[in-house]
Amino acid sequence: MENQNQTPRYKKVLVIDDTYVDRYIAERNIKKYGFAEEVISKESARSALDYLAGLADHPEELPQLIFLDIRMPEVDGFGFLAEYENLPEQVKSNSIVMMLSTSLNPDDHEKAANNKYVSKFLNKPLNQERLEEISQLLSGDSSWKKAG
Amino acid sequence: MNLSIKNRLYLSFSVLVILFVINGVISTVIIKKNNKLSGHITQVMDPSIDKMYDFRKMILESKMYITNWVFLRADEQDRKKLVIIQQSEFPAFKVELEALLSQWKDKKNANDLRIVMANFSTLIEREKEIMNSLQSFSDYDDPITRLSAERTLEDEILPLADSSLGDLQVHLKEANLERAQYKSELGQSTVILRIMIFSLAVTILLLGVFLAVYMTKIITQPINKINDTIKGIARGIIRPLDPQNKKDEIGEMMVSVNELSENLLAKTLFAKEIGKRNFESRYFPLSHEDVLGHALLTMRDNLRNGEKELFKTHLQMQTFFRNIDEVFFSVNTKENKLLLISPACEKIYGYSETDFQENSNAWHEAVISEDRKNFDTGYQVLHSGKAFLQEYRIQHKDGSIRWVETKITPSLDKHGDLARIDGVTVDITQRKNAEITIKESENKYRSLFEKMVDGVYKSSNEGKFIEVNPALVKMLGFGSREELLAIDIKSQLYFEPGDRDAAVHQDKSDGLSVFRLRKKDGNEIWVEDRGHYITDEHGNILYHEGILRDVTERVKAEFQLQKSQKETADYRKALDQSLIVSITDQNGIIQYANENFCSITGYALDELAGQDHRIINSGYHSQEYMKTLWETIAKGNVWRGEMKNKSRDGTYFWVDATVVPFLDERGKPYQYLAMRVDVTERKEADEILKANNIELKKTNSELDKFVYSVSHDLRAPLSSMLGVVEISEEETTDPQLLEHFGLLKGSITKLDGFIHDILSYSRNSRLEVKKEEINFQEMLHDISNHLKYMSGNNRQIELKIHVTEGKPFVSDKSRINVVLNNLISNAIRYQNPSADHPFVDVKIDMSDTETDIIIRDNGIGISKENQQKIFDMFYRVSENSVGSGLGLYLVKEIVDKLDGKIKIESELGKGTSFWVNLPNNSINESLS
Repeated sequence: MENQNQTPRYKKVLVIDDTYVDRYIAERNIKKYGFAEEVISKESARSALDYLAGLADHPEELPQLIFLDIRMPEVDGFGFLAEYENLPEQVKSNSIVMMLSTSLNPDDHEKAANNKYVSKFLNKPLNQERLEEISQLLSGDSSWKKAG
Repeated sequence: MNLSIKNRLYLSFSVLVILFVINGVISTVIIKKNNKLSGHITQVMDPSIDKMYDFRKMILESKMYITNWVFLRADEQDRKKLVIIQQSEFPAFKVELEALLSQWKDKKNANDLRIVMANFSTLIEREKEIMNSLQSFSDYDDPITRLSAERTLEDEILPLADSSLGDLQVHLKEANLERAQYKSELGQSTVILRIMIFSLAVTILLLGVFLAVYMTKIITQPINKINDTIKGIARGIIRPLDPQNKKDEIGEMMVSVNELSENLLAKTLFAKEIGKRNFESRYFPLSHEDVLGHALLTMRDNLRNGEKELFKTHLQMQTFFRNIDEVFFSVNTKENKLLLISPACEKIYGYSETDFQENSNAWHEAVISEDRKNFDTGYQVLHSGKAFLQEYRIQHKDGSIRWVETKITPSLDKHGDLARIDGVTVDITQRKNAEITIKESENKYRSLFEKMVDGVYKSSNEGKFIEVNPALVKMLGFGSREELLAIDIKSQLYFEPGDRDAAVHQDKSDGLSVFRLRKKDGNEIWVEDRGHYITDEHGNILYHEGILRDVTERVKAEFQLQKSQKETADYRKALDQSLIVSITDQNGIIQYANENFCSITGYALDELAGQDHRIINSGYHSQEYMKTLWETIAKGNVWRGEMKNKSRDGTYFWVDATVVPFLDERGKPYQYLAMRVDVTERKEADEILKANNIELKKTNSELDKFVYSVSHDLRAPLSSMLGVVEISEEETTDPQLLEHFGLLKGSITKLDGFIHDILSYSRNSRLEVKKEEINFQEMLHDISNHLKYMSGNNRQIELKIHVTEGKPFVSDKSRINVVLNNLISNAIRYQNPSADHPFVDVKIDMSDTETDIIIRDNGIGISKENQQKIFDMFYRVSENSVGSGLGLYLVKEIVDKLDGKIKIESELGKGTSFWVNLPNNSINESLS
């Protein structure tokens, strides 16, 4: 609550989630705690990928952070990551991907940990605690960004 | 005298026989008479005279006893004797004498003696009268009676007795005289007999002498003459006898001898004519039986023919002489003149007869200089009359050297000087060359015999060596050849002396045999005998010869081989008993299969032999699997593995197979031995198990997926709810509303925790225990971070962490995480509100083999009775408990799963201590 009126840390974040409630919670909290200036919500991996691909020529428009749900119809979180790999380098180098899920399946955790684009596995909901955690992680430690 | 010799001999012997007969008759008569006379004397006269003496004694005794009877009344003895004489002696005597008397020749004397006996009988009657009158003493006392008796005695008895005695004496005298007369007669006739025998003997002797002398004179002399004549004939001297005009046999014989002489003379003359080759002379045989005559005629004819033949032969001999290869020669040594030499000289020497005639020394000069000295030395023996025989070399006229053999027979003259030699020379060059060749080859073979490694022998049938080579002497350990030749093979070389007999009798054929012999030092040696028997034309064994080879090493190796073969066979038998065995060649063609193989595959052995091993291939295994198998064994390595095969009826069976390649000397497999154990049952069970496992894994993974999906799908709305509640909380300051939001959040958290626990439980019961290194520091840090946000309405609690590092601790990270999470969260949850300073003290003590985890708090504590139940499923201590009732149950399950221990110590109102002990799995790992 103390961060409520601070200058937003990030210009743009992307939330990919098929559940409306979760997209709403994310948008609301991000806005409320001034985490980002702009929140783009996509309800499917496909539309998110199209969005990102569409911004290839305008890197400055790309989101700095991507919150990615795992369980989604058609293309799930890992499916998104597989196609994300095919995106141009300037798209990928601009964004930090964070998994956001309620899954307790260790396979999901492991897969996420092993994916070079995923920086963090977060438990839902994306509330103030999570956002603080992310802030500490990204500001306090400059080595968060994985090599490659 | 014109009597023949035969008649004269008859006459002489007749005279002698007649004389013998006369003499014999006379002697017989005289001897017969003498016998009769001497019989009369001994059998009649002598006993008669004895009886007469007895009679006289009897009369005297009678007279004496009767006198005593009359006058001496008391003498009972005499009385008895008198009665005996009267009653027994005299009657017996009378009979005996009468028997003799009847044989007397003087009948008058005999009758006189009978009268005497009659008188004595009368006497006895008188005596009996007296005896009757004088029976008892009373009789004697009667004077009349007694007087009467005395009168009878004196008047009658005594005179009668005396007269009888006198008569008897007279007769006795006469009898003695008569006997003396007979004896003198006997003496006279004996003398006559002697004279007769003597005179006859003299007569015969004289006659014999006369005849002998006479016969000699008239027979021997003429016979000697004839004998001389015949002897003369035998010697070829024929001269007629002077016939003495005798008409006896000798005279006839002389005439015959003269005839014989004449005939012989005729034959002799004939033979003489034949001898002079006068084959025309004639002779007339004396008779058909004149064998000699006929023989002479035949001989004449034969000789006549022979003469012709001989002439022919002579011509042939001449030809032969000229043509033979041998050179005959004769030399007159005194004049050193060659008398004769056969034309063959030109062949041998190259010089003609004429050459030799001109140079009588040519044959000597032809001898080559090396042999000449020896030749001359040998030649000298001829002077002593001995033959010369020598082989030497000559130089042919063409210059070539030839071997010849010369035999010379010398003839000596009467002074013993060499007069002439006759000889023959033969060309023996070819033979000699052959001999030299043979000798060279013999030397070669001798060298081989001496130097060869094998033993060579020649042995007699009796069991002695005749010849041995040095190798055999050495082989049998003897010091010298002589030593070995001296031994008895049967008893000294054979361990079982019967072996040699058996060998000799049974194996007369040539051949190879192996047997054992005893060396000199007693050790055994095995030899291989390649020998044969040499027999004469009747098949009798002369000797045995052969080659002995020392094969001791080989035989021992064979024994060893046999032993190991037997062992191999035993092993194989053992294998066959228990395993399914087959042997294939390098191409997999079955060469052998045991009974187990046949019975499990259902094929008969003869169906399998020669078949490709793939006949039992099931097709189950991948080509790669089979390829690996073949590559492994083809490289000479053992392959081991399980295999599914197909039997004849199409059923499948599993075997645990070991295939062992048998390598040749180059290391290449030439056959494969496959041993199998039927594991069909186990394999089927395995397969079922495997299928079950796969099924189970599938089910498990499906279940896993399901559990995660469910948990996710349950938690997703929960987290959404929580998110919305949190947003709403920010929107209001209404205490009522905030309290409701708080309750809502509590329920959401509780439900979420429950889903967590269910999931953990499910994972613990299904997932295998993982092994990974545990970093307690990091784990506790995460937990404390996580728990920070769950404290909720509770006060802040101090979490003390104390880790004693040891060796890396290996266990299941997520399970330990659940344990620590539960225990620590419980301590936070059930803190004592009245405590001044709530804390949780986590102490971890790591050693090499195990780790102790102690979690102590000063919370509300658990009562003794509840301590028993806290690990039960869905047990909750109080109504206010926020947990699912699964937490401690899960902790206990996990600790059990990790082979650990858990204990609780607690006091109500003071606090609780959990002690967990877990083994370090790295120890097990390093051990295994």
